[in-house]
Amino acid sequence: MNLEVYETFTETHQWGILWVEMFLVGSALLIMILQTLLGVEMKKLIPGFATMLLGIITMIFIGVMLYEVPSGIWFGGLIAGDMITNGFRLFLLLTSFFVCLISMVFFESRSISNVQFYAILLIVTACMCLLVQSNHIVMLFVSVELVTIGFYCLMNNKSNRFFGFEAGMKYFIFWGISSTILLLGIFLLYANIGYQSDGLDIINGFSFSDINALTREYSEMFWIKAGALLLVAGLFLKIGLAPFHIWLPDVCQIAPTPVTALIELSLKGVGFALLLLLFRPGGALAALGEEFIPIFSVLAGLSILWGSLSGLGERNVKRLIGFSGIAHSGYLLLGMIVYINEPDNGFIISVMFFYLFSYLFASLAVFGVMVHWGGDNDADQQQEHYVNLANDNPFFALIMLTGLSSLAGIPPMAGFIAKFLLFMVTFEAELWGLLTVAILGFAISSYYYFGWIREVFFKPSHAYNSPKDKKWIPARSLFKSFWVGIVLLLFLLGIYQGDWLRMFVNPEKSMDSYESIRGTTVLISD
Amino acid sequence: MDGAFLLFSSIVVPFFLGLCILIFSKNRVVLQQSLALLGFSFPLIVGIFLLWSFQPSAENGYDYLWQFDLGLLSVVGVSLHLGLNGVGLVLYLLAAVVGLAAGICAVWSRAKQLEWYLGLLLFMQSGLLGIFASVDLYFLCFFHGLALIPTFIMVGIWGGAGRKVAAMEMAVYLSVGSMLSLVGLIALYFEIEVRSLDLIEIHRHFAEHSFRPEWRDSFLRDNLLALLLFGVGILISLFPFHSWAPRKYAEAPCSVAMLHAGVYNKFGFYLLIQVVVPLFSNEMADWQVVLMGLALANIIIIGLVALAERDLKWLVAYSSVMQMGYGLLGIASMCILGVSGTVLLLFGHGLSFALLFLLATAIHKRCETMDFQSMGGLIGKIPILSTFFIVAIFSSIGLPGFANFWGEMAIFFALGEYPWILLLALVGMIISATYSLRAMGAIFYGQTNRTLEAVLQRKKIVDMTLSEQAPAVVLLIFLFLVGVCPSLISDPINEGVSSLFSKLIR
Repeated sequence: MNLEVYETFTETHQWGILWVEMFLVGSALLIMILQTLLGVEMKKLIPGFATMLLGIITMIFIGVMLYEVPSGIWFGGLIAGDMITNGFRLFLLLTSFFVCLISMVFFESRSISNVQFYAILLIVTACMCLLVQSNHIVMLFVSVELVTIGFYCLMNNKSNRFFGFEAGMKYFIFWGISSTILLLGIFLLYANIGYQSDGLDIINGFSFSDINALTREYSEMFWIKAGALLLVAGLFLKIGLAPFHIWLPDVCQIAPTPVTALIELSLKGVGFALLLLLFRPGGALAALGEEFIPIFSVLAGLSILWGSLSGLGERNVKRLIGFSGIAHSGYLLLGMIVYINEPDNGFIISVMFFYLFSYLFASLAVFGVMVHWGGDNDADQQQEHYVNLANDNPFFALIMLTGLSSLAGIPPMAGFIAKFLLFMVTFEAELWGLLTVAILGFAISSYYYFGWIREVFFKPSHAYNSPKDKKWIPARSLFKSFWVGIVLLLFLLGIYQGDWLRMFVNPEKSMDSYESIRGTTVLISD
Repeated sequence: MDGAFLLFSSIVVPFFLGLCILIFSKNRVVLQQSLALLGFSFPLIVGIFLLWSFQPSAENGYDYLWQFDLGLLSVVGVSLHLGLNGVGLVLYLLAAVVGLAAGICAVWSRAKQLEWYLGLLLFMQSGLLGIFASVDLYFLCFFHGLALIPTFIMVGIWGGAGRKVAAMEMAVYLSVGSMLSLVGLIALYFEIEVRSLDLIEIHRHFAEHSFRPEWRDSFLRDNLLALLLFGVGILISLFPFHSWAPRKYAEAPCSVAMLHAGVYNKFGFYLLIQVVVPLFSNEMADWQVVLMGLALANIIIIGLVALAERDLKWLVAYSSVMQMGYGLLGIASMCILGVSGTVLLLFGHGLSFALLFLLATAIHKRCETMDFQSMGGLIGKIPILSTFFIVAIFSSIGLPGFANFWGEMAIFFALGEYPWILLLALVGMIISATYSLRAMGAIFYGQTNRTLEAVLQRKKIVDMTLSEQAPAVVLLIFLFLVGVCPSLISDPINEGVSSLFSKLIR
């Protein structure tokens, strides 16, 4: 190491790049301080305050993204940013904002003062934002573990003490296992870098570009393949793809509804962000992409079918949402396979983003109704509880209808065009078998989505007595206006796409940034 | 006024009026009714105007073209492209007429939660109009889905006893059928070098290569037709996949049954006539025997099922499914006369079965039973309704003087080359005449059943009310008009079909 390298290191420490994360952590600290200082009455304002902060930062972030997206590599190779990572940051910010809104309703209705929840949520969001920008295995592992601990705290919540504990335990055990597997994979890769580094200019065995160089050079080596496989398996355990999905429906059922929403949505975002970062050109495992395609194909098919089939007989809606999430992960993985096949095609990334965002809005519509309608026992929300919703509250029924039909992929909602585009790129990549499975999954899962719509709208055939303990929370006008916005967005995205399909990923731009990432890496290794 | 703009607004206006009804007119029944009537009558006015001023371009046979890029044009070659050719115009008119009739029926139906009923029906109507007005294949499926959700909900809320099963069955069958067709169309998109889902572009490309364009993959060229026919077969309730249709028609509320049996199930035929048959005219020859066999199975087997049916609404439903077999026969004959006859038949079928569903519901309301074995002698009690019903039955089995007659006649002429099939089709005619006339005799003539007599006296039965007569008259006017003067719609059909099939071998 010489002076030049240290200069590059210091030059790349641009804290301004991480303004979102710093703002989030700062707000979390502020909330913790306020919690100790404020009285009982004033504490009730904190949830609103946290939501407001998240809303503000999301707005600013969108504005900055529209203006200019910084791309490059910083902190000596720890952090990389471009259109794709910023798209995922936006996704995570939006998710957390809406989860904040949902949890305001959820905790207030149960009169639980739960200020720490918001502080932890903000910190978890910051960690996830760091995670999707990581360009270094240690960075990746540390932020993954931070997210894990945060989620564990969120789940072990006061709201339903007994079940919350169970969910937290299950989650903790599975994340522990997945972290072990992840670590083993990292270890194998790192060990091989040390072992095989002759002829490769490697300064630091943990950075993505060095692993990329290693896997490119020694892609035939068994232990490198094994390491990569374990790394990916660890990630899949965290996303909840079949056959690593067993924990997901259980945790979805038992965790409080806002946390369920957070797990369902942001974990998907994080998981696919990492897959994209690992397998895009220049990513750590790019050279092994071809070899992973058969494994990914089996997993995608399995997830789609498993998610669709197991949902068929399910009456508990929170588990149902979990199964539907598994199927949707399968569809996203399908997009990923197509992308690995044609890594130069930036349009596929746009399609995946479109799918992810339409899934986000559709799920939020459903979760928004669920927190209002869930009743006292949050873990026990049956489809029967939604009988006659259309009569009792047409507003919620319409939101539910929009969300569910978008999840199912029925026009004119955004979910339809997302599936349409996904099928289109799959077709273009000539993946006939997977396409067949995807259509089959669509057909099967449409049955349970329609089944839920049926409970909401159809009048009960026998004399139906609404359960006495079932009480629903009247919606506030703030909440209503946000959810009307979501519904309009689902419609709008289904009918008019405009530049949406090019907004997050401009192929040239992402390629530029990829070049610049490699350029900086070369600079450092000099 | 610009025809293209009128066409666009006739699709959008019902949708927005439906939204207005849902949002702004809580508990104001008169406002709801007048908004709904406006929404249903506007497309018909537009439709008549468009029929009157229809001047297809010599190049592609379309008029009123209107294109708007929604953001997909540059990435996948999809845009909102509206326009009508001869076939589309006639079916668009059908949707407008049946829509108005169903709308009038719904406005005075005294359904619970009237604003939801009217709003959803308006959504469905705008989807149906959109199907026949879109040139772009993506939007064809888009509008089909737009109509699907309201249909599903309406059957589930206002339907009969078996409504839940019927609604689920319909939703799953239809979404799978349309998704299969959509995948077939995507395959078409990728395999030929047009990179557009615009029907005009695709036709132009095929015509330039004299209907044998280069395919990327020969396996797909040989098997794509099978996939498309499978999807379309589900949509048109072709024989092995027909079971959802009669149950759905029988359980649906009156207006929905009218719109679905009358208009919605013409979607599959529309796909066949506009896309599948013209583009695959060479490959269709291999499938001709299969299609004719399935069509005959539709006619004979479902006809025999209808013969055994004792429930009036189920009878009408089965006979509706059965009559569609003739339409498929016309298409399978693969000549211009047969396909034109099919379009004419679709028009007549839509009107007459909408009428039958309307009247069957009216009878059901009065008699509280659907079993026509326990009716009888109704012509003395409710003469006007009975007369309407008898006229509707005559029109549905294709008696001269109604629109169906011309369609069936054209199809039979087109089948002249296949005498055995013609013979079997005529056997089907005898079956349909048998069950219709038998039902007619059991319901309207003879002795009135004792229990029915009691019901009639208790309910102080009235003959057809104005709100039931109005939609029936609307439908009958068009049935008669086309029956007496078929050139009203056969001219545009002829132009449309001959421009579609200009390169057809025969």
